[in-house]
Amino acid sequence: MLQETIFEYKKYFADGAETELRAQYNEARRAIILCGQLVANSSSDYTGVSARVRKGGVYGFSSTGEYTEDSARRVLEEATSNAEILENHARPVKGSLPVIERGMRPISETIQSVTQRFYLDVCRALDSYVVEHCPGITSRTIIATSDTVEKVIATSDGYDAHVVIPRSYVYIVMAAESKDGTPIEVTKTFGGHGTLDLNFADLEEAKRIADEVYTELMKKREATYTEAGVKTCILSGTLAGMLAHEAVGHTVEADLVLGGSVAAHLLDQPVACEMVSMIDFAHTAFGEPAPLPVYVDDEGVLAKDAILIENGILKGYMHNRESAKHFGVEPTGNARAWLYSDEPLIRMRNTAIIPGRDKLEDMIASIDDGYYFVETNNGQADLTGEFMFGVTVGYEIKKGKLGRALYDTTISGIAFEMLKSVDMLSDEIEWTSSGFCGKKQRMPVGLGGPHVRCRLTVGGR
Amino acid sequence: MSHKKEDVVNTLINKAKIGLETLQTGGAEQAVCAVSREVVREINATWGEFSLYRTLFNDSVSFMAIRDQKRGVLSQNKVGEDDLREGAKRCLDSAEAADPDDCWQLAPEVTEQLFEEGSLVCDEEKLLNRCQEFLDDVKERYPMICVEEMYVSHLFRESCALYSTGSVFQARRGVYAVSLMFNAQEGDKTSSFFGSDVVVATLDHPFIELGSFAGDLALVSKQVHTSALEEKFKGVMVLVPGCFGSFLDDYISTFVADSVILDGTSVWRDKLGQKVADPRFTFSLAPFHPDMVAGERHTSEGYLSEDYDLIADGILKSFRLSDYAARKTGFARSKNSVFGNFVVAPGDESIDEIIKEIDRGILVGRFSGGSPSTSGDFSGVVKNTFLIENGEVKGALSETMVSGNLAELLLNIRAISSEVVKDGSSVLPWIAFNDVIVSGK
Repeated sequence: MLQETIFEYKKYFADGAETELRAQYNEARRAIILCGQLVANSSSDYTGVSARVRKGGVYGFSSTGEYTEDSARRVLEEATSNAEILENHARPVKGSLPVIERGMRPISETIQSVTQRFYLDVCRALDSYVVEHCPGITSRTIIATSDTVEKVIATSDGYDAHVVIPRSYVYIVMAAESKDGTPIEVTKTFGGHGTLDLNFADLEEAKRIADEVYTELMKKREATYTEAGVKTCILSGTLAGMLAHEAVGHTVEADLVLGGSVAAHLLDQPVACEMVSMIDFAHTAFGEPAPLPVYVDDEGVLAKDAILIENGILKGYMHNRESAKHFGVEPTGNARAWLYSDEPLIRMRNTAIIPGRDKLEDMIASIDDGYYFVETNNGQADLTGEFMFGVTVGYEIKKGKLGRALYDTTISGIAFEMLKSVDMLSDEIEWTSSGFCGKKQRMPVGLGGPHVRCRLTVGGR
Repeated sequence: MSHKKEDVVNTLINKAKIGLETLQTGGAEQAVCAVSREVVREINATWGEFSLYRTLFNDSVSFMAIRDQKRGVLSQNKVGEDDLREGAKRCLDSAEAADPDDCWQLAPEVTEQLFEEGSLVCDEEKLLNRCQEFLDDVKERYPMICVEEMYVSHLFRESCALYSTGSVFQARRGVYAVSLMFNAQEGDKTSSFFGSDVVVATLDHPFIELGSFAGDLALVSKQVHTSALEEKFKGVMVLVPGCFGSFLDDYISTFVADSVILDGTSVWRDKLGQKVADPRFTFSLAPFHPDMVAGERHTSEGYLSEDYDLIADGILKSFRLSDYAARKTGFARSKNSVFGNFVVAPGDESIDEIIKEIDRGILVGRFSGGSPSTSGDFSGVVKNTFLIENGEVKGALSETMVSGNLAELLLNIRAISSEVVKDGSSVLPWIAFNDVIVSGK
C-alpha cells in the first residue's frame, strides 16, 4: 500500500495556484490459456507521483516514476514552470476556480497482491472444466485478469483522499462451426470489484457461466442472419448499459458538450420517453456499492451522482472543476486519471438507466416480430448521438416467443431519438464493469441498466 | 531533470545487467532484461486554445525468464538496484507457476546493435510555435471546424535490452506526434467527430501540410448537414486512407494474428500461397520504409526486424506470427512484430478518376463497426461519409450502415488510387470495393 507522506509535501505547493499532487500505484495481472496452452503469463506494477498546477486558466503537469519527497518537489516545480510557459502563450487569461468543499477521505479498504500462480490455477481449472463438459467446440480460451488502482491525492483547496479500486474478471471464450460451416464464437465475462482470490475463491459460479457460454454457442450453430431495417427489439441489461455509456453518456460529458455535442442544445428538454431516467452514480446505487465506486475524484472533488436524464428530460452534464465553472454549476467529481502520468479528464463512473416495472417475459411476449439482443463485444458513439453496438449473442422473437439464435450483427440509432421509442423497462438491473473506456487515456467504467424495449436499426445482409 | 548521454547509456546497461544476472543466477536458461528511460513533452489545446503542458519522466524495466521451459513476464517502473533484483525474482516465480512449453525460445545471438533516430532533443519554443500556427491555420482555412482536442508531443526514449543469448540492442530515438480531434459546426448543427494523427521526425514543416490533415479538415467541413439514406443498395464503397487503415487492423486480427492461427479459427489458415485478394493488391508491414518514422528495429524475441509482404499481387505470403506461434503451428514467423507500419501499393488511377467512374456508391471517411466475426462478416455505421452518384460526390449521409465480408471484400477490389497518404506510421491509398451492401433507415 502507498504511504501517505504526500500530504506533508503540500508545503511545496506554489502560492496562488490550484494544485493537485497525486501518488499512484497501478497493478495489472493477466493469464491466458488458449486451447490448453498458456500463451500469456504477465504482470505489471507502475508507481509514481504527478503534480498538476493551474495558473491563469491553463494547466502545467509533470510526473515521474519515483515516489519520494525529492521527486514530489521536482514534479511540483516542473508543473508550475509548465503552467507559466503556457500562460504566456494562452489567451484569454481565466480567473480562479470556485471554492469547493475541503476535507479528508481516509482509505476504506486494504488489498494484497494475489500470486500469479492463482491466476494460472483459475485458468487451468476452468479450462479442464470446459474440456470435460463442452464437447463439439473447436477452440476455447480462458482469461484471468485484474487491475488495481491505488491513489493518494493531496490538493490545495479541495478534498484529500486515499482510495483503492481493485477489480478482477474471468473471460470464457468458446468457438465452433455452425451447421453450414461458418466459424462462430461466444464470449462471456464475469467478476467485478475486488481481487481475484476473493471473487473466484470458489469456481462454481464460473462453471455455471461456462455452461451458459456453451449453451449459447450450441444454439448459435443453428443461427440465422438478422434482417436489416428498423425493428422492435429488447436490449439486455448489458446492452442497455452500453447504451447509457456510449450513446448518451459521452454526449453529456461537459467537455464534449463544449466541443459541440448534440446535448449542448437540449438541456431541460425532453430527450427520452417519460419512463427513462439515467444517472452516473458516484459510489452508491440503489442502496448498494456501485461496481467501481468513486468517493473523491482526482481534482479533490467530493463525488456525487450526476443526474443526466430524469423522467425523459435532460437535466445535467458530468463535470470537472473547469467545466462546472463554465456552466455555473457544482462539479460532480468526474475528473479521473488512469495512470500516475495521466492528467484528470471528465470520465463516467457507474452510468445506468434506471429500471422500470416490467417483467422480461412480458416484454418478450409483447413482440410479434423482433429481436432480443443479449451480448455485445463493443460500442461506439458520436457527438451527434449516433451510436453503434456489435452484438454477439441474440435471438429472434417471433409471435411473443424466443426463436433462433442470431449470427453476429450490428445495431445502431440516434440516442435521443431511440430513447423516445422506449416503451418498456424491466424491473431489475444488470451491471458490467470489466471494460475500459477510451478517451485519450483508458479508464475502467461501470455501466448498467434493465432490459429495454425500443425501436432500433439492425444491420444485416 | 536532464542527464548526460553517456551517463544514461551506462546507467541503462548497468541496470539491465543487474536484471539479467538475477534472472540467470535464479535459474533462467533463457532471459531478457530491457530497461528504458523516456521524457515526454506534450502540448494540449482544447476548443482551439492551449490548455495543458505536460512533461513526463518515465523509467521502465521488463523481464522475461524461461526456466525448465516455463515462461514468465513482468514489467515495472521501479528501477533501483533492489527493485530490479526483486522484479527479476518475481518474474522467476511467475515462470515457476507456468506450464512447460518448448516453443518459448529466444532468437540466436545477433551482433550488438545501436539505433539512433529522429530529433533527440525537443525544441520547445518551436514546438509551441508550430502548435499555435496549426491552430491558427485551422481557424483561418476551415472556419467551420471546432478543434475539440489537439495533442502534440515530443517523445525521447533511450533503451537497452540484454539477452541471455548475448544479443544487445540499444536505442536512442526522438519523435514528434501530432493528434487532432475535431468536428464541424454551424449554428446548433454538428458533424460527426473525426481524428487525424501524424508522426514526424522533425518540426521542419507546418503541421497543416502533414499526413491527411488538410484533406480531413476539408472533408469534415462539408458534413454538418447530412441526410439519412432511405433505401438499400449494392454499390461501391470507397475508403479514405485512414479508414482503410482501420480495416487493415481488422484483417490482421481476424485472419493472420497469433490467436486465430493458434486456435484455428482463421478462414485463411489454409490459404498461404493462394489468392486471397485482387492481383493489384500488395500489402506490407514495413518498419524500414523510408516514410516510416522510428519503426521497429528488433522483436522482443531478439530477431532483427525486416519488412515483409503479407499479401503480394493478391497472394497470401505470410501470417503475422510471433516466433512462439510459428513454432507452435509449424508456419514461418513474420519478419517483424509491428501491428502497423502498413504499406499498400498504389494503383494507376487518381482518386478523382476512380470516383468519376462510379455510378452509385459511398465515400467513407470513418467506419464505426463491431469487431468482425471469425468468419470475417462485418457490419457497422459509416461516418463522415458522402453519397456518390453518376461519378460525382453528392451530399453527406447519416444513419447509413454497410455490411459485407472482409475476405470477399479483397477479392472485389474495384480500384486503388495512385495517390497515397503518408502519416509517419503508414503509407496508404484510397481504395474502392464493389458489391458492398449499403442500407439506410
